[in-house]
Amino acid sequence: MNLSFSPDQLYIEYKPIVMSYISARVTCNEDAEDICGDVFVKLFGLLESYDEKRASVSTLLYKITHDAVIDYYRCKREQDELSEDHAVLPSSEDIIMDRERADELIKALSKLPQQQRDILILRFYRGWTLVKIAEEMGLSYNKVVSRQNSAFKALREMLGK
Amino acid sequence: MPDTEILLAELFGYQLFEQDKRLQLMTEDTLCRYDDDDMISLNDLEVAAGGVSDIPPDIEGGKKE
Repeated sequence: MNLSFSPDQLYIEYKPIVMSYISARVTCNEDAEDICGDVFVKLFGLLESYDEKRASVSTLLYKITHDAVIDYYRCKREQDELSEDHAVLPSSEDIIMDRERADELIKALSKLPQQQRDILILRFYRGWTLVKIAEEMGLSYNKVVSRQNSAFKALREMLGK
Repeated sequence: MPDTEILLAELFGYQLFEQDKRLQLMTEDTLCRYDDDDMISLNDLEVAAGGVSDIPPDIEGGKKE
């Protein structure tokens, strides 16, 4: 292993990012902390064979974190067949973002009318509800819903789906 | 087909790890217009400069020696 960073440095730099990702998807704080711990245990285990030239450590960490959240929900679903609460489950592993897919989506987002893009960013990046977005934008709730749906439709068309 | 909503949620999750400048600019542009909370506050700057404690006064005041 010949890395330009130490495990300690990685932990300090990436723990807040990993926790942000997990917390946005797992509501139980204790579970989120456990998953975060597991992510770094796995990362440190992989560092022995890690080759910086093949993928950046942030890419590796993103994949490990994404998989850990999927595993968490899969395990929870096996333990508890009440699937309604788990409707937020990232429904398939193939959603993992790669540079190409992200690039395609960012380009499509940039082509949306500004107001539609704002709605998506406030909802998916900032985590606002549609009600709050309507208040802040000075629009009716129905208008926000309608513009959001138009944005989804436009994105699907641009992404060829 | 992955649902557009899940794709978007994943994109912003991915952005945490792999900062894309274009998406960052789009996001900042939106937040500047609608979300002042995300802007750096004077208090943040003072704390960053080491001049002011970031402990809220009510907590600080509640400390017992």
